[in-house]
Amino acid sequence: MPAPARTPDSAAPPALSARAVTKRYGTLVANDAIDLDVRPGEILALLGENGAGKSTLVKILSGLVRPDSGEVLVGGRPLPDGDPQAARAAGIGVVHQHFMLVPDMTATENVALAEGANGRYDAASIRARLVEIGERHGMPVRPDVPVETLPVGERQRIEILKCLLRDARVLLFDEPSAVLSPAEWDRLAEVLAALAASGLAIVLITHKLGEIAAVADRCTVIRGGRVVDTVEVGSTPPEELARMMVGRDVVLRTERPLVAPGPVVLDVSGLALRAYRGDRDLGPVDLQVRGGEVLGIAGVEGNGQSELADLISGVRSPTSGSVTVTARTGRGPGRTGTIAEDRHADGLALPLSVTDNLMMRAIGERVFSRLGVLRPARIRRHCADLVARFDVRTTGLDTPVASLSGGNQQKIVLAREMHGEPDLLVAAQPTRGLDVGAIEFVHSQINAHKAAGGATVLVSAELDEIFALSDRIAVMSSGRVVAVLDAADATRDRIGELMAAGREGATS
Amino acid sequence: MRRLAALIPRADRRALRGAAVSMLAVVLALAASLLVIAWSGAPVGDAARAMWDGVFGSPAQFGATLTKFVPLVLAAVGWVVASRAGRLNVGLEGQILAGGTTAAVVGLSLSGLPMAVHLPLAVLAGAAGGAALGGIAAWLWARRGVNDFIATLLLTLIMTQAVSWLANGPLEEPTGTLGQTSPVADSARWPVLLARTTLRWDIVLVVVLVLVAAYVLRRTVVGYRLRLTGANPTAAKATGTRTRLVGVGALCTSAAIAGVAGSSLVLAAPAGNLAPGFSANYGFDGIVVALLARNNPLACIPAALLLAALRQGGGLLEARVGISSGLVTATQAVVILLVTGSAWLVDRRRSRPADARPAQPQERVSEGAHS
Repeated sequence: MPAPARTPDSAAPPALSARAVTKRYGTLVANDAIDLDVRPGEILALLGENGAGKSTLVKILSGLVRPDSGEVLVGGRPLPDGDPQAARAAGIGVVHQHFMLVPDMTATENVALAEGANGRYDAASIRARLVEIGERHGMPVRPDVPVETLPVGERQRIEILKCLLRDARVLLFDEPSAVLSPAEWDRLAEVLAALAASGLAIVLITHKLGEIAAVADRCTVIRGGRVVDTVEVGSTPPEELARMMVGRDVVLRTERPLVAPGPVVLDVSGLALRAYRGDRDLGPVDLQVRGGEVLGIAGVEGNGQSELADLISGVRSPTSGSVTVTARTGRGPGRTGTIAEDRHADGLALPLSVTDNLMMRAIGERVFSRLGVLRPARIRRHCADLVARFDVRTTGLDTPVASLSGGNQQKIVLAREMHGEPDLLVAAQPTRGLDVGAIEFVHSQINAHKAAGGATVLVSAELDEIFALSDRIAVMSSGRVVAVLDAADATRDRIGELMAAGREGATS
Repeated sequence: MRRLAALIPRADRRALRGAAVSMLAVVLALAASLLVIAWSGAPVGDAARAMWDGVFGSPAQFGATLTKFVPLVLAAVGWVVASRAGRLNVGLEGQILAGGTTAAVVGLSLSGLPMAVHLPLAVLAGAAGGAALGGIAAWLWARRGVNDFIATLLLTLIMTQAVSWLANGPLEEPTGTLGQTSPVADSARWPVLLARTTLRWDIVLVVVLVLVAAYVLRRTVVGYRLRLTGANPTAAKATGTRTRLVGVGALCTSAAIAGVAGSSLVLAAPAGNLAPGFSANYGFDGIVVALLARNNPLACIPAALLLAALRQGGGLLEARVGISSGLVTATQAVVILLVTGSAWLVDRRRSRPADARPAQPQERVSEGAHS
């Protein structure tokens, strides 16, 4: 998209800078002497893998965390450590990944709350300012509707407006695209460019290279808590950024293996679910997936893909219709492995250990117990083997899964679900929130499963992921499969059109 | 020392550290209680001595402490079993009443049996009685979606009245004036363990039960599925655990354990009969014990000992030094608050990020709420 011309004044003093900021948690150095500058009118990307120290840095910049040493300067003046009020007063606004909105309050009420209103407040004037500033920056919001009924993109705009209403001069965006559809991200990108053009300094925290290329002027890469380098985005190829972030060469595009399709493994027929969300019905859906085949399911979030995945994996029961899974040999019932969309809510037991999480499915196997009594030695051997094979980075088998990084948590889900070679793999948003290295790993596992003759259903909000892995692509809209395309015939534009077709309203 | 520590599994090491902190908190809390007593004007030295004597002063006192320990530790373990599966069985009190009642019925109605048959039968009847009451709540929860917290609590209220009616009506002793039952048959009563004390052999059964519960939770497939269900029912269900069955089983087992506690309160009591209010709040205090023990079944033993000692010592404190019972209860509350508070401190220290990124973002409220 054409970004409005903006000329960051390289001579201007930085709007926000960090000087040798260091923060330790126990033995872990989360931030190690980090330097960072962002100038007025500039979009600076802060790139790093999960666990690289991005979130800690954002918390320090916004005054939520006190650094062990170093300082934060706003417009050249040092900010008091660990004082979020002072940071806010100095003009630093943060748009958090998890919105800081009260769901059943309206936009106006949320803004009033953020302004520090208590008791009586002038709702009319706040509402007027909200609407006015929203219009001025091309971010229309509905001020009188409970925010929980608004689409995610609009909720995010309210967060941004909350900062603007407080006269923020610097905006920090913590992985803003994590919750957005591609179209919503495009809109946000335009807003970001416009905000920068109006003189704001913007820090975009992300691990997605495409976003950086689309909007950022410069990019500061951090790895292991240290700044690797700060580069001009225009003159740095994405591969170079990826290498700096991960610390080694990264294959950005995995080669999709072509496997001769085997017998039908998944047969979905007449599958329907009444009122999966409000008054929306799912289906009826008819699909078949063969061994050695990956069926990608694309669609704007909320159009029934997640529910379809739940029905296929058996987590939810359909109103009518059937799901039949046959072994990859073509005879007998098949086994299903599931990568749940929300691994924290549905895939893992966070307080329990790595071992406990790896055993969820296999615990019923005879080798792991005798007369109902667990055999710890065998269990540990099995888990140690899985941890090694799936390259899970953990301090031990007894470590609570909650303390692992997102990528390693997902590897645990993968290790558990791939154990025993399931005939069907249902992967819903398998790389959501993961960094490049982990994404590469997940993709290679899905391809390996495919090459071994397994069938895969892949639900993803990332079109790139759908294209990278799928042999056929089903597009969903308003609870229906509107088309199934051969990957060879599918283009982004075609898929985009189909996704939008039959989509009523903008509620996601 | 370091090598020694390495021999202990990590989870146990953590539990031990928690226990050490808890002990420290107990000492501090007792000191704080004495300060409160001093402030109220009572002689501190006498108070401390009364407390000590109340717990350890004589075999009779010590026996009485251990007698109180029995129902406390059982109720606590009952709580642990249910809450590990994610169920909140706040109706332990009612299940104690139910178990005591069924045990009393078996103890009263059968005669001429040898003790080796009659006593186990009466104890099992207690377990069954507790489980039956818990089973009603479990059924309501599993089939009708009734909140287990509410169901178990309300059933307790019903049970309290039911016992009162039974003891004053159908089961009342022949004279019909005392509002309680006759003593159960001797063959259904626990024999005395320590002469000239109230302590009876049921304490051995109780300790065995606690050990079994700890073993089952830790080392068996059933225990694993139970912990899994409590930690994340959705994930457990998605990976093949029948979570509703686990929930029902946990509630019933928890209630059965409380029922055994009830049977002890009848079959091991000096009077050996059923009287209204015999549950004496043990069911609710058991929840406090479980809280102190941080839901660890083995830690319930020291925690229940502590609370039993506070109950027993507090009694003498009241009688000998003349401190009001309200103040005694307050000192007990101080102990509980400090111990649970320290547990919270241990948790907080442990949950510092091992990764620069918090694993579970919990901020959902508006930041404006702080300003």
